Amino acid sequence: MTQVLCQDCGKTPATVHLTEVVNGEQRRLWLCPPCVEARSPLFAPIIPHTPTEYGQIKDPGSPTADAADDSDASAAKLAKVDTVCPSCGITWAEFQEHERLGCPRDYDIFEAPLAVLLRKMHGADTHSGRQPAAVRERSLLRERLEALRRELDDAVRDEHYETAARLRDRIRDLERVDSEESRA
Amino acid sequence: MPDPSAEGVWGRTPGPESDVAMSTRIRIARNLTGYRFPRKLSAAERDSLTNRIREGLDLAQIGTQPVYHDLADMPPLERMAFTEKHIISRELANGSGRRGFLWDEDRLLSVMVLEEDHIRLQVLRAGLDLDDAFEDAMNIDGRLERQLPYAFHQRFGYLTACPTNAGTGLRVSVMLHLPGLVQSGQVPKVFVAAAKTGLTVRGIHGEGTKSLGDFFQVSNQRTLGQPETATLASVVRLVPKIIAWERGVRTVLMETDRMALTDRVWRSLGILRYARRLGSSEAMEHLSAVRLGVQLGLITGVGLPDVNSLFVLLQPAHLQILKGRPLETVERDEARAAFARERLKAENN
Repeated sequence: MTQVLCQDCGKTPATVHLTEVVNGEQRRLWLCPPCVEARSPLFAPIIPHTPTEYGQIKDPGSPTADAADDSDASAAKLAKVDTVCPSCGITWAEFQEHERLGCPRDYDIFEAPLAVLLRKMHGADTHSGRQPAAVRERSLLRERLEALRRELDDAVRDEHYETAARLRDRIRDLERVDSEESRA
Repeated sequence: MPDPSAEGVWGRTPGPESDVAMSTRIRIARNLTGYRFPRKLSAAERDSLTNRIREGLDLAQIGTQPVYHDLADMPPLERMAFTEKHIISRELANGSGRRGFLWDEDRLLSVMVLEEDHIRLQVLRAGLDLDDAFEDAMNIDGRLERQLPYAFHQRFGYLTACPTNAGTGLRVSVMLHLPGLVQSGQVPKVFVAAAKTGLTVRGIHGEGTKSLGDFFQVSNQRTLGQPETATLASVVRLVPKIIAWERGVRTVLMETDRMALTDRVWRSLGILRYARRLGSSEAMEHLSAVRLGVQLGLITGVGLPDVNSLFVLLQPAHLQILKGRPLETVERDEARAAFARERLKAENN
C-alpha cells in the first residue's frame, strides 16, 4: 500500500483524514497526529496515536478515503476493473475518485464491493426501517402467499380436499397479482 | 430579493432548551428510480426531472405556503443568503445547471431539488424539537412517496448518490451553542461521547482552531441497518446530556468568577455596540459571548431573538443585500458594524 505523507510536514506518514470547513469551503487533508494537534488543540485528546483506533474519527463524507484500511482493498478486489454501469457509465475507479455513484443501478452492478464498503461505514449491509408502500405491500403479499402454501400442504396432508382446492384458487389469484406487480 | 428580515429558523421565537439548542433539523435524502444521480444528468434531463419532482411536490400538497425557487435564475448573493439562513446547503447554492428548492417559511420546511441527490427534504425547528420535526418529516416523505417513484433496493434500502446516506437517507441533527464547554476546554468530551454512540460532532470552523460562534452540530452517521426511530433515539439520548454538561459548566463559571464572566460578556456587547469595523469571525465571537450573557441574566435589555438573528443578518450576503450592492471586505466590515450598532443600540433596549 502506498503511504501518504502528511500534507503539513511532508515527513511523517499521514494517518488522519481531516475535513476542514473554512468559511463554508471544504478542504480534505491528510495529516499526521502531531500536525493535527498543531492545527487544532481541540482535537488533541481524541486523536488516536495507533492506526488501529482510527476508525473512530473517519470522515463521513469520504467513504473511500481511509487508505489505512484494508477493507477498501478488499472492496476494490471485488470490483472488476472493466465493469461499467450500462446506465450511467461509471466504473469502480470513477466512484472511488468522486466518492459518488452515478445512478441507482450502480447498487446492483457493484453490489459486492459496495456491501463491503457499506459494512465498513455503517456496520451493516442490509436496510432496516421504512420501505415505500408498494414494496411493503409486495412483501406482505409474499408473506401471505407463504402462509397459504403452508396451509395448503397441511390440508393436503390431512386429506381436506375441499379446503385444499379453495386454498389453491386463492394462491393462484395472489400469484397473478404478484407477477403483475413485478412487471409493473 | 429575499427579505433580509425573514430570518429562517434562527430568527424564530426560541424553541425548547434554547439556552443551548439553536435548532433541530431532520433531513431525508431520496432519489427517483429511472434517473441517474444529479451529477450525471444532462441539461435536458435536469429540466424534465425538475418538472417531474415539482409536479410531485404540488400533488403531495406539502406545507402551507410553499414557494419554489429556481436557483439557476437566482443572483449569487440571494442564493448565498438562503445558505446563511440555513435553508439550503452551499453545495446546492454553488452548484450549476437547473436546480432549486421549495421553502415553506410557515412550516420551516425545505425541499432541495437536484442537490447531491434528486430530493433532500429538510424539516427545521427552533431549539431542540426532535420528535415534532421527525414526525413532520416522515409524514411529508410518505406523501411524496405516493407521488414519486423512489429508488429503493431490497438489500440497501433507499438509494443515494453517496453510500454514506444509503438505507434510511436520514440525518438527524441538532445545532448546539456551547460557549461554556469551549471556554473550559471540555468540547473533546462531547466528541468522545458522540463517537461512542455512532454520532458525530462538527464545529463551524472559522480561522484557526475555534469553532465559529461556539456552534457545534451533533448528528448521526449511520443510515444503514438501523431503523429511523433508532437513529432518532440515539440523538434524543445524547443531546440532553450535552445540554446538561453545558449548563453545568455555565453554573460553575458563574460561581467561580462571576465578575470575570460579567466583564467579558459586557465587553463583547460594548464592541458590538460601538465598533466601526467588525470582521465576520470577530462578530460571531462577540455575539456568542453576548448570547451567553443574555442566557445567564448577566446582560439585560437585549433580547435573545435579536442576538440569534444577528448571527444570520451579519453574514456577508445579508449585508450586501441590505446595502443593495456587492461590497469589498472593508466596506462589509463597516456595514456589519453599523448594522450591529443599530440593532443593539443601548437606548433601544
